[in-house]
Amino acid sequence: MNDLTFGKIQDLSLEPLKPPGLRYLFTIAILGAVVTGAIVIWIIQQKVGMQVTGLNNPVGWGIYIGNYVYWIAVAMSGTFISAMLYLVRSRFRSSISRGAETMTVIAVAIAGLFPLIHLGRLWVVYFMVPYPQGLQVWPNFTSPLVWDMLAIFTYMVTSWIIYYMGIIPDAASAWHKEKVSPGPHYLRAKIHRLLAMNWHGAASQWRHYKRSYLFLAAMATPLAVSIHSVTSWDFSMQLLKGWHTTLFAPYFVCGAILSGSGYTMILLVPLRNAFNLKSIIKTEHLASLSLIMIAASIGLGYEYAIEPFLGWYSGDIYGKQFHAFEASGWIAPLFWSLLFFNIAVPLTFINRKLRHREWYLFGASILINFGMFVERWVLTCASTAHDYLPHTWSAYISSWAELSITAGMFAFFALAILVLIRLIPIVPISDVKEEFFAQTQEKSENGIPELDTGIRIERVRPSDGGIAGSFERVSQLVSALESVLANSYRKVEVYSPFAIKEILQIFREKTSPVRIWTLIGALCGIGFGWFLTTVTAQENMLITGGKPPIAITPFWVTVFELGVLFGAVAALYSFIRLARLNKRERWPGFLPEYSRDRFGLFIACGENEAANIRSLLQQAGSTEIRDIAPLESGNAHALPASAVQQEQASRNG
Amino acid sequence: MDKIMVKPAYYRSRQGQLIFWSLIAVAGLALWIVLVSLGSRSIWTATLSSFLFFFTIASGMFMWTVLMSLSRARWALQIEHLSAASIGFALPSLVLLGVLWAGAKVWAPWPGGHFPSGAYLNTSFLFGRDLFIIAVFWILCRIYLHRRFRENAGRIGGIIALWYLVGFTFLALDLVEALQPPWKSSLFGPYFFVSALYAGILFWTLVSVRTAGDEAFHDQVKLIVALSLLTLYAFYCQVLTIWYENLPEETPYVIPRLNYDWKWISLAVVIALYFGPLVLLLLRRWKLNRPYAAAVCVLLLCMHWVQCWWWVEPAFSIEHVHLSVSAIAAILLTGGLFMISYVLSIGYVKRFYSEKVVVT
Repeated sequence: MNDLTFGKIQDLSLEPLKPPGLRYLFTIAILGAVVTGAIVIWIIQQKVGMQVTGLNNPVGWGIYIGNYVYWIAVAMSGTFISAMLYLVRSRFRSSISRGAETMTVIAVAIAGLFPLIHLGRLWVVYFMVPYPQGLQVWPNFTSPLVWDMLAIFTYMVTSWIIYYMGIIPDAASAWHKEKVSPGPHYLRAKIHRLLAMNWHGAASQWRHYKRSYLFLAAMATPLAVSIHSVTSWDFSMQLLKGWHTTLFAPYFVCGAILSGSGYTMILLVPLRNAFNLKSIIKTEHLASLSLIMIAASIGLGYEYAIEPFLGWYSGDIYGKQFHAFEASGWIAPLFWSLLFFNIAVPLTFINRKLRHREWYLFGASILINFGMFVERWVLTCASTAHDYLPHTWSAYISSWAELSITAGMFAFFALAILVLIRLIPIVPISDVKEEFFAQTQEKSENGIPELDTGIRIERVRPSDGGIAGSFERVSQLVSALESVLANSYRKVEVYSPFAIKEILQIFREKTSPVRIWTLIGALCGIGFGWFLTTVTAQENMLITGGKPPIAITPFWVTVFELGVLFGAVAALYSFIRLARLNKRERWPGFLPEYSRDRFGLFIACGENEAANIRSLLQQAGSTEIRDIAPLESGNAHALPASAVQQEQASRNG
Repeated sequence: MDKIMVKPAYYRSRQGQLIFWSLIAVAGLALWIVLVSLGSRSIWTATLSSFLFFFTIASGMFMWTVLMSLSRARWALQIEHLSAASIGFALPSLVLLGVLWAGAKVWAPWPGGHFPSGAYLNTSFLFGRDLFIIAVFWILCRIYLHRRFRENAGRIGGIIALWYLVGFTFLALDLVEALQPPWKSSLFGPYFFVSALYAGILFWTLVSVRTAGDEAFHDQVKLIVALSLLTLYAFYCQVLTIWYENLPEETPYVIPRLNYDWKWISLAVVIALYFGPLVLLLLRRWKLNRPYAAAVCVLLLCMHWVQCWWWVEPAFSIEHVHLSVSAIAAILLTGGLFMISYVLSIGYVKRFYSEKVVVT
């Protein structure tokens, strides 16, 4: 990042948002045609029934469920990588997180479609929602299928929230740029305006933003693990060899991390080349991602090894014959190839030279994802095709309809990615700037002065007037803030294109009320989860699988999912309310360049204090000092921010 | 890289500590000999529980040193020698396992038994391979310490991590799962080594309470919360899968622990050890309150001992909980040995960090 500046980071990141060329539109058209074809085939399947698939007796789960598991895996790892790396304060997170999150929000939507496609009779899907069906029976919350639906819904909502949270500051940056060129009436500019809401990069907004993002990351990490664990339980809660094992959940999670990291790689390598993002998404970042893939492949290898070993250890003849079938039956070529693609290929990243070659990483990631797809296919159909009764042993070959719909979903993924990268910056601009600042700060010998964290800042009102100063460097901004606070001015606001840790400390980031809201939301979700599971079980009073109707052990799954769902929604809601994003009000002293590469400081004051503040700002190195006239209360809420700025500009001459 | 100054808090009263822990160990040894000579079986199972307790702490603690290096984390460098000092338990752990081997005829279920895996559960083969696994682990740790600040530290760190993954799966299988031979669970290995990492971070935080900087201490406490959740996840995945299918080869582990007297112990372990940190260390100011955090660590370590005991004892006493003087004797003996070795090895480990960390 040596040759970068805050402005250059912004320009490079917003480059993909420029109007696309013909080649792009042609690709979109081709992908759209493939997706349309898949939709037509799906309609045919609805019309003539599941006979168009290769499903048979006993293989009732085929490529659709394999697809579901595969796409859930891709979806899981995006948010997991982003949230987990955020929690451990990883350096390379900022470059890859948006790519991973974009992948997640699309993949989870695709994954959610496959159970519906597999269902055949789509209209009975409401059996799964918490609503009594025709026979007045509520969904059974001890069933993994009900957990699955709940987990997908929770994960989809939470992933979209995290994705949207990350977009807010970047959408504001894009909006401030686009309202100048190509103009505020362009559709893209309007979308960014809508997404940014009333974000102005004020410290009093960053304060709540950072806290809510932290809590969302803290909730999303176990949630991401839970979603793929729940998917694994669809299999491991059944009495079939190859499916029923206690290790299935962590094994699925490892597989998901491997395929998702691979997908992130497949996405980022062409993008960084196509949009000249190599100085932001560096080869080292891709190499770091490949290290995660090594760890995940070792986890997968552990599972591949432990299962046959335990089969031998316990003398389980069914287990032994199933593993022999995998190794030497009709499925053996696929089984051995998935071992190669999922274990041998990622382990080549141990070689330092190989993991620093981007096109090698790209090619290997494609192979790994091919291997993971094969693995999901084998996993789904092998156990049913080779169960306990030799006379029912069978084979399964995916039909043209199944393969077409599968291809359609891959095309839909590519299509959605291509649309989103033209709409949303593919790198998180504010995070990259923050990381860039942290790195330059480390190299710089002159650190920024420490602020007195005991000072209590007062909130600036929309109608306040005062003095505003612009700064080119953070150190100047902090010096100005220090001297302003030392002179007992407490009603201040700071504007910056990224969160500045030192400044947020005095704005009491740690005590943001977001934490209380999130906790209350999560507790409400937990309470509702227990209520829903126990009351519906009480109402049904059905003994299924020899289990008591009110079974505490499996109810925890529902309770956890609802706890996270309510907590995540509460975190977003409280952030929007506390950061005043829902109000189109004036932010005194704000200028659009504060979302790019300048820093602003506004001090609310009377006319008699203005001269003193002006001199303090000047001493600190302010490049521009402006008088901001107060507005009469009432007007402040009525006017949109841009109108207020124009009014100020005219007042200031 | 600049040298980091470390407060000398832990080196002041070394002699006093050694005398104190020696007295504890001697008292434990005397009581242990008396109980063994009386032919008690419970002293052996209590010794196994205590061995698992201190061995998981020691190995888990050293693994944190390795993980810090593998993840290139620098925040813990200032206190890393306090985790690396757990290497001192290498010899006592081998001796204790040797003692358990010597007494296997009295307490172990394997001598004379017939199992599907045949000679795999032969007593000598079982203890022989476990001694080998532990010995290789400590040898690798010793090599790693020597190369900690050299270029190829990552390579040896990776080998240790792999050995930990594989070797500790066998240890879990041999020393806990195999106590109830029909029982098998593919998740018990990961559950065991994640528990060891959890125990390791607990003890490391406890001994760093006066030395660590605020940020490092905060990170350690956050790791406690993370590891408690990870252990809970492993525990839950195992219980849920077994509970759901109710298969005869899987339920021998779960039935005693979810029923009879043991269900209360299970409840205590789940509430205190797995959910405890999430509640007790929820707020930042609680995490940074060192006396409070240290007290929570002590409570959680006590519960970890209960967990190790709960892994072992229900295999021998399915319905009833017997907590006798045997447990006290085993804790005093193994605990005394652990602490003596730990205090002695701090001085030994210090030299490996003298290049980068100044211990005044």
